[in-house]
Amino acid sequence: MIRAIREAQVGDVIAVLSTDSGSRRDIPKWCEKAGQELVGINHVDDYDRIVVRKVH
Amino acid sequence: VARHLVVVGGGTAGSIVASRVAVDAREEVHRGRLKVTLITERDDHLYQPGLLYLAFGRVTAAELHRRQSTLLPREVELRLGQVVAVDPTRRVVQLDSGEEVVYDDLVLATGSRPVPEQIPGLVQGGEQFYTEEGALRLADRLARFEGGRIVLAVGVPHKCPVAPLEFAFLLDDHLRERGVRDRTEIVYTYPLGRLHTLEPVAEWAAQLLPERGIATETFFNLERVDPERRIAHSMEGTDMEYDLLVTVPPHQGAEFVAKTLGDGPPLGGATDLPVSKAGSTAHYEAEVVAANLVAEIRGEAGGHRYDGKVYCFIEAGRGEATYITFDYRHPPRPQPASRLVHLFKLAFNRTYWLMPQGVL
Repeated sequence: MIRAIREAQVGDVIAVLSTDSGSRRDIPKWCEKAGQELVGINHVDDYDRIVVRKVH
Repeated sequence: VARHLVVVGGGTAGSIVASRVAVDAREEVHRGRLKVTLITERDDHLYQPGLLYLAFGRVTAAELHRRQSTLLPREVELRLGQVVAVDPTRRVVQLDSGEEVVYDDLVLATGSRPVPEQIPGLVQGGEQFYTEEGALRLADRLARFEGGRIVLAVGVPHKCPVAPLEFAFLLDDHLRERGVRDRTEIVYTYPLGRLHTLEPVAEWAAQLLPERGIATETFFNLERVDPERRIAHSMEGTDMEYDLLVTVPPHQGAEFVAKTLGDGPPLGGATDLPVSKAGSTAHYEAEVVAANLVAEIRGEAGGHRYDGKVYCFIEAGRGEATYITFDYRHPPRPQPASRLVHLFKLAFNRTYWLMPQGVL
């Protein structure tokens, strides 16, 4: 995900689809530290969809 | 007409596949039913894990090299050249010399290489031990280091995932031996929110790093380096001043592989499997591919699958080491470090040379 953020433009929205339960904990923590916007998390079928917007 | 297996890449994975197939299907080779060719750029095989030791002056560069032609069994034909393209429809590999090699089976084992240039300022501002030249330069700087702050930063993806920890522990030893540890601050940074990608290893490191007086910083992804002011800036907004910046640079695969994927099975560092790009990973992957190729050549079922198996030694400093072994379904459980495992690792550094020969 960090690689996608690195390559994205400010304003881009990136969705991470993850079956690793750690992602729904780690990604919000990263957003908080990096000052990026966590748009939301929802559970789809057997994975989590975690959406982040690059704000700077 | 002999069936032609072409292996591209003379690292751990490529050498093991070519040697294993040639040894296991020796009879087919001798009867002219199978030909095995390994294409690589130089008649040289570098033991890449040894670069960590080279950075601390614990081995010489010469100890890390063997001639590829002396390692491969005689059933493997070695061809020197750089592959620039693969044409899967014509089943042809193109070399930089303009020559073409026709194949029936193709294995891509082109590995990964460090690309510090992806991070602005890193080439000028940082050191690394992922090339022989880089390891030697770092060894020189460490031998002359008189104190200050050493920052370790980790890019992704990279090869051996335990190397950053090993570097930190061996660095602590090295500075102590030189009598400059009390004048040096070591900061171990990591891109994730914990100290290692594997959670059990992160917990192990969270105990040992503070014991050695090594400071830590998580969620540290290098964004750019200011070589003049000696500051490493992270994407997360942390600015870290340094006297010596040592990085595990981000890595990237061979360019032609990205254009060709979908034909030969890529191996080792060239894959996009959710495992590390370490030599151990390459080794276990290579065994699976070799077994499947031999089965196919003989018209047998094959169907072996790689289960994510990896075995890693972890140098822990103070003459001790531990190890982890894991696969896709079984997480690692690091044991307390011991003298015996460290000696086993030193022995492994020597026995490695049996592996590209297809012996081990």
